Amino acid sequence: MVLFALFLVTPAVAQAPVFSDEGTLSSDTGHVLVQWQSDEPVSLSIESKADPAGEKTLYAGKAQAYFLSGLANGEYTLRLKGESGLSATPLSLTVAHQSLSQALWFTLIGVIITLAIIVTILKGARDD
Amino acid sequence: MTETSVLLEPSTGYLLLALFSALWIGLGFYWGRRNKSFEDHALAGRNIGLALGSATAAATWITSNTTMLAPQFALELGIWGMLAYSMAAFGLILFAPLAKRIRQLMPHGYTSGDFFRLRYGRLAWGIFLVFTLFYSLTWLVTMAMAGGILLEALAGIDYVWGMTVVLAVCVIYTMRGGLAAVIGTDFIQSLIIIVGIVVVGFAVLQNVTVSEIHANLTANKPALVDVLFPAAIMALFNNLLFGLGEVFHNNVWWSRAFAFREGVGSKAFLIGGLVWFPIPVAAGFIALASGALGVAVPSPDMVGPLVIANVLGEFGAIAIFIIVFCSLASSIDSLLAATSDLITEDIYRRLISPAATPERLKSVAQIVTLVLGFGTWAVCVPRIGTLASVLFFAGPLVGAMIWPIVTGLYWRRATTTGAVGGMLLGGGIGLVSYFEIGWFVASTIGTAVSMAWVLACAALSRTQFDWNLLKEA
Repeated sequence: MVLFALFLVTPAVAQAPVFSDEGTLSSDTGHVLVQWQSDEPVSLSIESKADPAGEKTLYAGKAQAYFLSGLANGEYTLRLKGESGLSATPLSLTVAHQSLSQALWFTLIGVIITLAIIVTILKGARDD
Repeated sequence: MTETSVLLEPSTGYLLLALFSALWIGLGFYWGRRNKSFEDHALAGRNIGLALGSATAAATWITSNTTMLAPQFALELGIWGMLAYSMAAFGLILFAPLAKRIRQLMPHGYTSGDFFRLRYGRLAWGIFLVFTLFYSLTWLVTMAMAGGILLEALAGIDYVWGMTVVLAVCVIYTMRGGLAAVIGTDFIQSLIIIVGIVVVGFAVLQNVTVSEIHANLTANKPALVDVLFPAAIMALFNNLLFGLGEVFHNNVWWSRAFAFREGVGSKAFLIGGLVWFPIPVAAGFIALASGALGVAVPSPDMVGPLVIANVLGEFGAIAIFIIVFCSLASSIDSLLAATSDLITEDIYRRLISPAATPERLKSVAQIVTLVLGFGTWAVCVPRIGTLASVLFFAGPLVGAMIWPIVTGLYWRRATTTGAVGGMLLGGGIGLVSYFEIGWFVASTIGTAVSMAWVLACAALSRTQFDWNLLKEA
């Protein structure tokens, strides 16, 4: 009976927050959806060795996901900390954008096709 | 920072849903009262004027994708992404001269399927039907699903209820009023959407300046303002070609080219395209402001509503609810009408019952609309999350149809071999590139392959197509 009463009054122990993805995330577009599970409000921060500003807080609140975009090439570390002070294992994020020369070639192809369509339409039917 | 929660009281959401549902259905019945034949129902008597024509072109192109996906493009791909989405306006602008040519070559035409059948024969027609039905039905399903998801996210309305109401309202007024009701409601919906987006854009600028937005992006999301952002650069022309393919082939646009009064089509599509062009820029700008406004985004497709609610509070939440409902309705009704006409004309009339009377065809079109509505509802109920991404597979398929259509309308020497090979090779290789490289090159590659094949076949051809064959009564 005493044990049962103790069980009732003992506060639930907060679980450490965890990232849904384990290990390393990678992106070739500079954006990634970061998701996690947590019983309490959390703060999400990001750090990059290349950034002299050091660790930046991205989000603080009860949400379970954060959409990160516009990142430059580099290695990043994401940290998640619960309100109670417990932290998730840090998550690594590698951003390596698509090849610029490939992008410019595809853009050139797009320009050529578009101009060809416009010229064909503007010239119209010459053999009516 | 913003939490993930509904933006509007459910009771307000249900009230808005009921009011606008009653309005669209009432107008559908009113505008459909004079429809007697299939031509009245499917093509509004071929007598649509410039104001309604321009409005329907712009409104139909403003889908829930424009109000939701354009901000997502900006958030993922930055300034280039915002412009990439706007490039789809060229679909309407370049369709303007095509609409004039279509009306001139096919004065009695009903569908884009009629063109493929008469110009290239049954094999090309069959491939076109497979491609276009895949695209149209997937677009329809994703729109209806988006309706349920967005109403749930905005106002806490149960997904199945929201999706069912949006779909049922569109089915009822499209069945009753046909294209006249679709175009009439589009006119009102386009005004609401444009005014709403402009008001929201100015409201955002009252809360944060352009220089603050730029400073925030430069510090925290540098790739979004990088002029050499690879994925964004590739998306620019890929999206333009995707938009061109969507408009050039789909019966949503061809039915309007046939329905507009003589001489109206080219002006209406040009005005519609110019009106549409700045809308994704305004919607995308809202997303770029999210960082400077301190709005955290848990899901990229919700960035627009989150920023608007953050800036305008409950008024903003009501505004975005109405904008979303209007943009969903203006696209779902057009797709229902155009797809049911395509099935009625190309499958029922051409393959099953060539002697059907105009009254019978009208009834069949109404039944097909109802069946499409039920079918879409049945697919949407399980809420298959990955289904929305299927729509992007259509990029290379529609891109591969651009050159068969353009050369088929203007060149006597364009051949069936060119059209069939262009669609199959362009669609196939484009799909491979979708998986091997990414969605942002699939339409470009599909269109490039199709173009090379179609032009090579035309160059080697000695065919001289007789344009009179397109004038089938």
